[in-house]
Amino acid sequence: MPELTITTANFESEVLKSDLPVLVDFWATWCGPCKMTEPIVDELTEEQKGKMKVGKLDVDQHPEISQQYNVMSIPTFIVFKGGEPIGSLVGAQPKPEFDKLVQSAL
Amino acid sequence: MADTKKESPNVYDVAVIGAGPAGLSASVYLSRYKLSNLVLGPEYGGYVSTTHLVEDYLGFLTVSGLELADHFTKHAQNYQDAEVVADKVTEMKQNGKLFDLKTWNGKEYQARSVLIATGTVHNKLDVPGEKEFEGHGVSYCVTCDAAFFKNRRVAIVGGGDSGAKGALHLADFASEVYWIHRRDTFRAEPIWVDRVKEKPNVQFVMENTITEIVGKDNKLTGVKLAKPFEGKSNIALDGVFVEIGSHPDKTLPGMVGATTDGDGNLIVNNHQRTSAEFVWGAGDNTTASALFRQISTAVSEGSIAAGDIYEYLNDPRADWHSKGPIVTD
Repeated sequence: MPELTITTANFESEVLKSDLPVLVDFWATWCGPCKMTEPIVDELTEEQKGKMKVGKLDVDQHPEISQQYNVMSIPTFIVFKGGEPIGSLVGAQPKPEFDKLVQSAL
Repeated sequence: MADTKKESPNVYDVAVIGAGPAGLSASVYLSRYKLSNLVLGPEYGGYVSTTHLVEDYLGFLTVSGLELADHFTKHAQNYQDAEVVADKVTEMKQNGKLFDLKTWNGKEYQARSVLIATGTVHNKLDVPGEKEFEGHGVSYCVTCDAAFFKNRRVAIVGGGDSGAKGALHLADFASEVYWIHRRDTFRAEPIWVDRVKEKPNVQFVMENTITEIVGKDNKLTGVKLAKPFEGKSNIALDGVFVEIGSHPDKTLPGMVGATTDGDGNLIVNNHQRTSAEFVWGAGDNTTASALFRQISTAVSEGSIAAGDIYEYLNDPRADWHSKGPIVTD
């Protein structure tokens, strides 16, 4: 489980101003496909330690951020680097797709 | 019977593939029969979890699909012999007396028998732009994505119960809802259609179809119609929800040699047995449910299958075909 919980309050400091790239998992408690991708997100959190941060953002709790980045379906994963979104994945995708997304930001 | 699990933690008496009402109902009975069972499904509760409201399942006057799915899942998880995992079986083959299973998350399991309860997959519109804007305005799940369309304009396609319930749910979020249906009458229960008619922000687009979904910069902006609606051949939109039915996926039955019919439904007999020994089927993906895919029918089939699995695994001399023919043509 990623230790980082992203909220409207910490989005700027943890994501936009982060020194490391950040993978944000837009999810919700009721979302089945989000649950299915949890093991992958956990694996990435371990693999990318020190190179990339991985955080989860609950779209029900923080709809402003999802709206701002045009999230229209969950799970959506967006990688931010230097304060900008540089790549995304929508829906439950297999691990190699995540690896590609992560590599593009490193 | 559950001793196999002790031999190896990843060997189960029964692998239940699918975590919808059929699979979870089967799991409850299997656990009560002390059969170790692993339920593997991408969504706990299956389609039920993404249904807005359920009002035709006995005992619940009205309940959200998510809540009902939660009841189903917790009931199955209540037993030590059951393990419910959010994952999807991608490969399956018979290996001597066991079945080898591989999952989407790279896990491997073995089981003495298999219950295929995978339900169905959504039909697609199959029009230009649909794939391009999937997840960027095109959605196959109203309850999952409706909230992202607050005060926006959306269309929902399909005249069945899912289309009606979807229109009703979307009307609570979107500013305008266009319910597009290719016929002049609805297949949905009239009680749902009446409720949609009461919503002032829903417009009915009858005897019409979408021919293309358009947009730019990864954002959906509208649809083109086969016939003009209110004098225009397109509608400006932010989202399109597709609820035009579903079909079974025959991939898994094919991997273990279980026969399907021309529509992909897994052929089962009255005991939910398939044409392949040690493989049972239950729920929306079977010939038993093909004409009436309901939660109640899925629950029933799952229960019947579990009872028969218990009986068959306990009697090694039993003849697979002793319980009536599995008609394959």
